[in-house]
Order: sequence, then C-alpha cells, then structure tokens
Amino acid sequence: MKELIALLIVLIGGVIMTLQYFLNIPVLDLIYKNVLDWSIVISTFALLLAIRSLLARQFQDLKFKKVKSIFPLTTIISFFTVVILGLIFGIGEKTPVDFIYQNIQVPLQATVFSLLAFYISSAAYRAFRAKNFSSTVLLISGSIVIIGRIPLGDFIAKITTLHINGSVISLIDFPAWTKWILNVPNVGIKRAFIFGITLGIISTSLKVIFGIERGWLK
Amino acid sequence: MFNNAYIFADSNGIIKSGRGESLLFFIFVLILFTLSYLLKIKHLPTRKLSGIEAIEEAIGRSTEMGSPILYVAGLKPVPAVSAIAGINVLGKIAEVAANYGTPIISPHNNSITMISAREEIKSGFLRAGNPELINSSKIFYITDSQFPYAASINSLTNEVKPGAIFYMGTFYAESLILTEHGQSTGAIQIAGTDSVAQIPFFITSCDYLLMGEELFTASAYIKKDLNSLKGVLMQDIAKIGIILYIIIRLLSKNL
Repeated sequence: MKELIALLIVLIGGVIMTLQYFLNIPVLDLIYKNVLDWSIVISTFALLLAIRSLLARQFQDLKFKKVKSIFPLTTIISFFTVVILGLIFGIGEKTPVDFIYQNIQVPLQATVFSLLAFYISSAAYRAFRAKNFSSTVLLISGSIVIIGRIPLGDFIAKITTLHINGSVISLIDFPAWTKWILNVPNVGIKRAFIFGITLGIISTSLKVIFGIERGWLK
Repeated sequence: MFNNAYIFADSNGIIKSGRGESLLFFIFVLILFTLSYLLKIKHLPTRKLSGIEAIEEAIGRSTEMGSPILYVAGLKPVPAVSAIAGINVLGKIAEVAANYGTPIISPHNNSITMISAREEIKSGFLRAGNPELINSSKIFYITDSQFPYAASINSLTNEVKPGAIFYMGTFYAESLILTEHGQSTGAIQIAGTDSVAQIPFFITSCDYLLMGEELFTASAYIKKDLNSLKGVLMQDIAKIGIILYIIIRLLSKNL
C-alpha cells in the first residue's frame, strides 16, 4: 500500500510537471511554484540530516583517533564558530561570517581549484602517447590545438603567409586548424553525446514516472 | 520543408513560447516509449558495457589487497536523473562487495543522496545475504561545496587507500582533481558521467568509463529484465529517428 501511494504521487507529480513545462496553463505554473517552495522546505530538513552526519563522523574520528585529531577538531570548531557568529551578527555583507567566507573559504577553494593546472599537465602527459592509431590522432589534434591557442601559432601563420593574386593564404595556419577542430569534429561528437544523454534522461524519467524503475523506492 | 512558426503557437497560445519543437520531440519519444512496451519481444540482446563488467574485477582486486572500496557520488543530488542512475549502479556494486565481504565507503555532498545510497547499499547487502556487514556510518556527508568536497575525498583516499574507486553522476571541474589523485594511489577507477565536458578527463584518468547514455542504460544492463531493456530499445530507435531527421533537414536545405 505504502509503495502504491508513493508510485501514485510520482505518477501524478511527473505528469503535472511535464505538462507545466510545455503548456501555458496558469494553474500548472502555480502548482510548480508551490512544489519549488516545498522542495526548499524539504532541503532545509535534509540539511539537518547532513549536519548530524557530519558532526557524528567528526566526533567519532576524534574519539577513536582514526586520523590526526587536528582535522576533526578544526572542522568542529569551524562549524560552531560560523554558526554562532551567524546567529549573533547575521550573514549579510560586512559581517564576521562574510569575512570568514571571503578571507578563508574563498582562498582555500581557489587553492584546491589551482591544483587542476598541475593535474591537467600530468593527465595530458599520460594521454599524449602515440600507442595506437586513436592515440596518435589525439596527439596530433591536441598538439595543433595547443599551438593554435598560443602566440607561437599566430607567429607561424604570419611568417608563412603568401599573397597570391590579391588573396592571402597562410601555409601553416594553426589558429584556423584549431578553429576547425573545435567547431567541426569536436562539436559534432559533443552533440552526439548530448542526444544520447537527453534520450537516456527522458527514458529514465519516464520509467520512474510510470513505475517501471523502482530502485528509488527502497 | 518544416516551418515551425506555423505549427506552434506563441506565448499567448496553449504551448509555451520556444517549447514547441521540444514538445514535438517529447511526443515522438513518448510514442516510441509506449510502442516499445506494447511490442511482444521475448529477448533483447545488448552489447557489452565494459565499465559494468569490470565492477567484479575491481572489487575482487580490492578484496585481494584487503582494501575497502570508495563510491563517490556526483555533485547533482537525487532527484537528478544522473544521481538516480548512479545509485542504481551502486546497488550492483554493493551486491558484489557483499559477496566478497569488502566494506564500502561513500562520502556525499547531499544528505538526500546520502540516504538513498545508504538504502541502496543496505538492499545490496541484503540481496547478497550478508546483512551483518552493513555499516551505515561509512556512508556519510562531507560538504555541499565543490572543492572542499574534492579535497576531503582526496584526503580520505590517502587515509583509507581504497583498492577500487567508483565515480557516478554529474561532475564538474573537480573530476580531474579526484581521478588524478585516485590514479596516483594505484586504485582501479570506474566512472560513469553525463557531463560531456568531463568525459575526456575521466577517459584519461580512469580505467573504465560509462560514457553519457551508458550511465542511464547501466541499470537495465545490470537487471537484464525485459521491461528495463525496452527503454534502451526506445532510445536506439529514437536515435535512428534523429539521424533520419537530420539527414532530411540537410537534404531539404541543400536541394
């Protein structure tokens, strides 16, 4: 019975939301807005679950000393500091919480993000090895795009430019080749992926709405 | 050949402005979906999905090493379709892990996804007949911020040294930070994503990848039941329809 009620809610909700997206019926838009409000309320309660899980794990780590105590201790102190400061001074601009966010969290996030540059280099080093035909194609196209995107590409195109009967032709034009690689084969393959993904999303959504896929019910 | 302006109403009409063509596409897919379920098919062959076939090998290797396995959920939470598809694959991972007696560690960036993952892991262990191995405290929440999430997972990878790492769902810039670090620890890495921009990064750093739609078909592939596979059949017919539509539009433009 419980399962049937859940399936009915999903079926009715799914049909209404689908119709709302396509059709110009004010009552459906109103329902959609209400459902969005409900989801905000639900996510607030979900946040409580998240906080419980986070703190339980940190206290457990602290108690059993699975990792160095400094890490769970830092998390717990930071968490309560931000919560208390937020409750006392608010969370708007020029408040202590804003100061912590701008001067601690943002730089720390930027630090982790900057690691990406090094990881891209190590990944590219591994990927650019001509082991077989496919990897050779990747190596050649990758090299063209890299040269085409730096000033060296423009310089080579400039020095190899010929003026024949009033028309300008560059013999080694890396920027133009780069543009072609990015706009033709690259976009074509991306669109093929997007078609497949869209169909996959529609198929999975329809299976959930019509109760064929019930994994989420557990 | 087709003049959409005459077919679809504007914002004052019954169909919302700019959504007429998508509605037509949706109706086309819906008809195919219904037809594929009405067809009396007894068997539907599927091609091999190496990413799914490798789950057993990865968990087996992890068990031999005496290491746990790590399941990393993407940034889009349940009810995003990619998250639901990822959770379905997690069910299979949990079942295999329960058979081998290998623990699963799963950090999350959303509590609803965390609860779904807990339930799916529980079901997987129950299906395998090993409920005593369920440890809910190993499926936990870290943060919903992108880079702190990535940093925490990397720290966790250093700490527990997993033998196999699974990345399932939608990922953004953190994908390479996670997978390159995982690669450096020597773990077998299997990913499944619908993030087109991240696919090259996953291909470079992971051992196996469920690319785009493969993530969504993985659930049907695992279950092998006819009803789920009919959805995959619909997707394939729709793709043929799209290819034909593109060819017709191209020819009508060029002729």
